[in-house]
Amino acid sequence: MLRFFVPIKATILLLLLSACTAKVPSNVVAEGAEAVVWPDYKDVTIPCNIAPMNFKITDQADEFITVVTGDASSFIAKGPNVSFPLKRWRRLTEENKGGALTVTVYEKISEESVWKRMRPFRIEISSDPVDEFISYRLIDPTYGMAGEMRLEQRRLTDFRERDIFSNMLDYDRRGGQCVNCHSFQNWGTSNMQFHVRQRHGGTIIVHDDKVRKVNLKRDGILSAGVYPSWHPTEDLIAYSVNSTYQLFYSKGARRAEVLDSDSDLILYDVEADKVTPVLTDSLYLDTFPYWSLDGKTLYFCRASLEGIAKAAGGRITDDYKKVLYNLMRMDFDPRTRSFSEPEIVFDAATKGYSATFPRLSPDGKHLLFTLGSFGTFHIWHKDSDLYMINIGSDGRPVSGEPYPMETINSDDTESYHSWSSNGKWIVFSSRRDDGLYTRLYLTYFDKDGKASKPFIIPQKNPEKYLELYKSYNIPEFTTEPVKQTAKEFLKIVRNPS
Amino acid sequence: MAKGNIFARVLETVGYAVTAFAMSHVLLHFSAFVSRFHDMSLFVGGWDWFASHFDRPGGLVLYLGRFLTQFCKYPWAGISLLLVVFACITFLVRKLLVRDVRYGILAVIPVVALFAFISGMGYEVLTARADAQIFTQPMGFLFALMILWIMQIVSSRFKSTWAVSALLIAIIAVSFPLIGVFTLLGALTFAFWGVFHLEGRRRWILPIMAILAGGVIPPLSFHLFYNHSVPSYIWLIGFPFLDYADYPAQIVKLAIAAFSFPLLSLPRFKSGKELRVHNVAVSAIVFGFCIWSIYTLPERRSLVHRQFEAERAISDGDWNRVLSLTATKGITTDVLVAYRNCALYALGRLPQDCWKYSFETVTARSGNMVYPSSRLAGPGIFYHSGLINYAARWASEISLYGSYSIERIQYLAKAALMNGEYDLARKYIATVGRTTLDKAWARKYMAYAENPSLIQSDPEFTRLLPLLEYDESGWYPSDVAAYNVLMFYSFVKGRSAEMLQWNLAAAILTKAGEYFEELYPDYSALNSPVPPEIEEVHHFFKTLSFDGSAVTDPYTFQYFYYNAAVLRPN
Repeated sequence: MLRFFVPIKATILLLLLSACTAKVPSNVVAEGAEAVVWPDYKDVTIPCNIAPMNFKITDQADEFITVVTGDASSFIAKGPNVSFPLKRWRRLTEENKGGALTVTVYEKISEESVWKRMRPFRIEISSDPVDEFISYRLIDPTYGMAGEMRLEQRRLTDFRERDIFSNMLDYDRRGGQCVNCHSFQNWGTSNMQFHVRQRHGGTIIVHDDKVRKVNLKRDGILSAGVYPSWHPTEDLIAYSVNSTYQLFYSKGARRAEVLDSDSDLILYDVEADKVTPVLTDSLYLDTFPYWSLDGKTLYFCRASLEGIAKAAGGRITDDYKKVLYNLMRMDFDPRTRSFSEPEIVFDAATKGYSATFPRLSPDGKHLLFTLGSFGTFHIWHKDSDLYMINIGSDGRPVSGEPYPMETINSDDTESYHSWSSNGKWIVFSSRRDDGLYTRLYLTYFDKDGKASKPFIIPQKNPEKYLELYKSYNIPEFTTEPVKQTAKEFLKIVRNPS
Repeated sequence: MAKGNIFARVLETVGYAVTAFAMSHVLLHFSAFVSRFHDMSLFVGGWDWFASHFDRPGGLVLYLGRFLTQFCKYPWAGISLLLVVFACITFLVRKLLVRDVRYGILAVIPVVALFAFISGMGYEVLTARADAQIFTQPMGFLFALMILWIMQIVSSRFKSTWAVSALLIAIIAVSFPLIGVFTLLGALTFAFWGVFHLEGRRRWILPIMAILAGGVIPPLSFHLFYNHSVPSYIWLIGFPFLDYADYPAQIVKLAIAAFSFPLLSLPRFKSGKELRVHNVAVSAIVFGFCIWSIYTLPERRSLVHRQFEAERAISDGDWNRVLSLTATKGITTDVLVAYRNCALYALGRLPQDCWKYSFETVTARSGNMVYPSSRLAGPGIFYHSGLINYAARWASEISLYGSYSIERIQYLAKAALMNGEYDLARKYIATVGRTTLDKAWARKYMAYAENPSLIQSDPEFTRLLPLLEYDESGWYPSDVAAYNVLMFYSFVKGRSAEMLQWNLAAAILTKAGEYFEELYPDYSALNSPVPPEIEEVHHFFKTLSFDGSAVTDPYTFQYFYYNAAVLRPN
């Protein structure tokens, strides 16, 4: 009986193999144009440890053969979907670290007898690795209700994703909760935090790998903590506390406006569970704190409310477009835990702009931030772009104006951004693909302070981005995975603060 | 075969036929209701979408439920498929549980309860977290019976109760991720059935094992695999209980369907010999009750079904029908009033006719659940009133409660096209293009995204695009869509004649006399001769006359007299 099946199995295997094996076509004419591929991975620089850069050829043709060649080996794929087996990809990137892969696409239309060889493109492979993990929030780009959303962690070296926390673990018929603002100390996960709003609300703090929930809304403080930044060496988290509301636009690509009617800065002592007000002047909106890596400077953003009209209830009226944030800094003495007076790093308001999300590179030399025409929530602003300002050893800007990151900005929104722990990679959120759904792009930041052409973080199925109705926001690198499971966080979330 | 049994078979067959007729009769009467299940669900091809169903237990039931629900686009097809599923359930109940031909007709009890559940849905068709309930619940019950069937076969082959128990546990472990709570229904029904129908003293082990496995496997699987369901709901996953927490009658119907399985497992229904009068009497009483249920339990509130019909008409572009369904002088709802205004605008009669009908609205509710109009119909109301971003917003917001449906995605796509966001429109349209039955829609609108100049030749866009001619400024809309539209047009003045219609209507409906007078010169310049109704309103606002002598239509006088207190000087 077994003997009867052997030739059949062998034939099937042979047929399968012959169906799968692709060869470089011989009957070829050269074509001047490049193949159109999604995502656009042409001439990008990638980390040597990135997951396979799978892509799809979207040209109109009936047959496709793609040849990816490196110094020592090559890879051939048949069909419009080019997917690299993980081991094969590892070999390719390892062998060509510091070099490049050349991608040549051959296309054929059934009626024609010859193949067209499209103009090859290159993928540079940097020998600088990227941090292994990235954390982000997956959320519908909607505006009021807390639907399904989750904090997720993705291993950048492959495609594995896992939930840090999902609000679907804790909802009832009246609704769910909002989870947001995950933040880590020094790219590690032993000290991290995120917020849970509404149902079972509070801030989840992981401190020395132990989890607890705290209520940061203390007497005399405007709100619970919002935008966080862990101090790099101390058990301290700087937060903004914000009184936030929304406006909605009835037409146009800009859907909503998220505004602060008031915002202050506080310092939370994780060990002592103590909240200390830092900046509380009601004439200013202070927000988006961020520590320098030496912990001696706190960067933040400040808008003056002078001359801004407020309606009853404190909300800013039609003047909201006049709310412009400057980049600021304060010296911090970790020993006395005292701050110097705020000073301006970049006076965006005078130039008619608004600056948000200051993020200092690990070497302390480059301050990356988002610049838009007004306000605080640039993810809704089509004109918002990433800018850089050079910083000296004293934490203050060196001479010269901020400059736009021209290679990475697009016609659409660029907003939140983070540096990798080695300062070589920047991840940022962008709406360049369809104008609404935020995607994460990675760019290489070289020793000359120049960013390479950015690329969307690869997925096993590259069409995932086209089909997914969720935005990725607040991308943060970490060098290790979050150690707690979503269920462990759930237990803490359900406890009273 | 005994003569009595032949008679019983004939009666049984006639009973099934009558039940099927009654169900199809009722559903065909409510065909718009059936088609709304299609509109509020989505089924697309592709592995990722299929796989996405399995991030919580019961994904297979949802996937197949959505697959079948797509056919409700054509109500006759949806109803036919539902009857086929019901026939399968009845066949299995008859084969596995009610083996006594004399009580054969009792096999319709589960499907009648399921039918009562489906036809009892009102606004939940639009608002439910769990879509495709028209098929997910019947499919779930069908799967439960399949488990029972498999276990009956297993138990006939293996005489050891321990072996049967082990297989029962294995089946629960394998099928719980696929069909959720219906696994437990099937397993417990088998265990209960086994107590009465299997031999051996150890048969009592079966229910103990089923309960133990049912108690352990769901939380264990939750702990190991699932992050997207609430642990305390894990034993109910697959039942749409969250949608009916304030509407318990619906839960009761599902419970009747579920409890009918163990009830029909009782030995009395196993087999019988001669047909007796009491057999016929019991069957006749139950059958009569079933038929009565089919005709009386459907959601009969006319306002719900009128909304469904109006929404069908809107999607067909039949605004005369929308108006005929909504232009009532009796009790209505916010949604129907808003649709009426959209119809009047589409028919070019908005300012002159908007106030001629009833505004006597009642709250949209099911059981104790109250639904704001934005959640019920926000995308449609806002879109056809020209507030396209609010349409898109509510299409997204409502989807967060449950999932993206074909209709909501269509509104998102059309709003994106009107906004000039063609990449975004392509994303939405591509999703519609991956469906089976709505590809034609996708082709039509993809052509617009590829060649935006075609948008100008589409009658719907031609009607709505002039409503975008104003200077944008953000504001804070509430949950009441109809009110929002009026408030918007009360404050935002446009530059087009079409917007002027809405501005004038808003002024009339909110009794904003000064605003009306401000708009009137522009309107009269564009509309010569001015319709007499507008003249009357103009005269009324100008003179604030309350004696009715100035107006020709008694309804004008009535409308303004009873609502004009706000205009009276103190």
